[in-house]
Amino acid sequence: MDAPTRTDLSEGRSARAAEAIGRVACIGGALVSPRSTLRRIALTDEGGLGDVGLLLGARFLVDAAPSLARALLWLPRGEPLPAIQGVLQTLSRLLPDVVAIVLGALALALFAGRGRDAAAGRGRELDLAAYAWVPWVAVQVAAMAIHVALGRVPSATERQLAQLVGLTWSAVLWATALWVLRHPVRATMDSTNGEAK
Amino acid sequence: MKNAGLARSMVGWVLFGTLAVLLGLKLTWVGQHLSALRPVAGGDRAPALHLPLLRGGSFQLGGDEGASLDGEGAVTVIDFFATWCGPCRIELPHVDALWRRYQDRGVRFVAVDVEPPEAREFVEKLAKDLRLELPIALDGEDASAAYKVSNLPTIAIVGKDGRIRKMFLGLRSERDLADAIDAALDE
Repeated sequence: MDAPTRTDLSEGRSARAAEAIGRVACIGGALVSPRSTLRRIALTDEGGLGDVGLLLGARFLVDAAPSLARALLWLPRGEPLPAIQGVLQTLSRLLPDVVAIVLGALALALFAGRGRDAAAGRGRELDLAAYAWVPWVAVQVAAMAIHVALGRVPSATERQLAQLVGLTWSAVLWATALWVLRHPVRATMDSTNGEAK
Repeated sequence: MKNAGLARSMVGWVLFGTLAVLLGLKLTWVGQHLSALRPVAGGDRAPALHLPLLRGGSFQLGGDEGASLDGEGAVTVIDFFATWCGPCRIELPHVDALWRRYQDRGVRFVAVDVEPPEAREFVEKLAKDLRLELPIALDGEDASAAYKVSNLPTIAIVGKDGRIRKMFLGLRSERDLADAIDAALDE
């Protein structure tokens, strides 16, 4: 087998860059044009849980950097057990997001109806539920950025407001995902009409 | 269509870009505050404590380097807890049992509630529900910050010289705690 040429490597890098750009666009699409984005996810191989996983991972690192540092600083003291405990406890902050996505996927599978056509997003419930969670993450990130810019800690009311906005927006996306799953033919017709314009 | 695609990409890049900036800022903050984040662990001098006790009086431990210590010469066990902490409610009776066992050997015990003073009635109820007799200190927010308590329960075993021998994070068995106290006593 011949070694990869410079052209092969360049094409590989271009493909990866295009894939990364596609992922970012998909995440943005969940916020800007949710119906068409969720329809594409349901009916094609585009987008998936991994994209949202990257977003959640990045947000987790921002949120948990001090806690992780505090846990890992046990290691130079020769105490691995508190370090592991601290890391695990910090990782548990991801649980609400994971639970919300899994429950959302289960609810989608339950309410989308049985006997759906194979083209109707079967097997994509987890990906759709993950994308429905993107607005929640986006609102939390926006709230973090605003408070960093203002140089102060958010009040309890501000935190609750951000949570309410994020949850409501995500609930709307989840409902949109359900609609896409239950009406794939109509979603495709909408797409055709949209493209014709 | 092209405009919609551009908008999607822009929003996505703004979101990831914001996260990247926030992460950079947070990592910078962590780098600048490493000494504050570094845990209190074995070998460190135990931060001083002066706390009011639930049943009257006060509990004192430690002082500045070189100064005379309150409690010097005695092994001290400090159990940081909160009334809302489930594992703390499991561990406190064991610490209470150890207090009864080691009283005659001069070991000092204190359970420190890390909540504000307003939690007094909850602490009283907890002590009554769990039938705790060991000394319980209130108003431990500053104390828990001094000991850099990040998990509950956290138990610090302080040696006779006022230096920390062991820090236990999270739930531990009565046997593990007893072994650590025995080791501190034998020094």
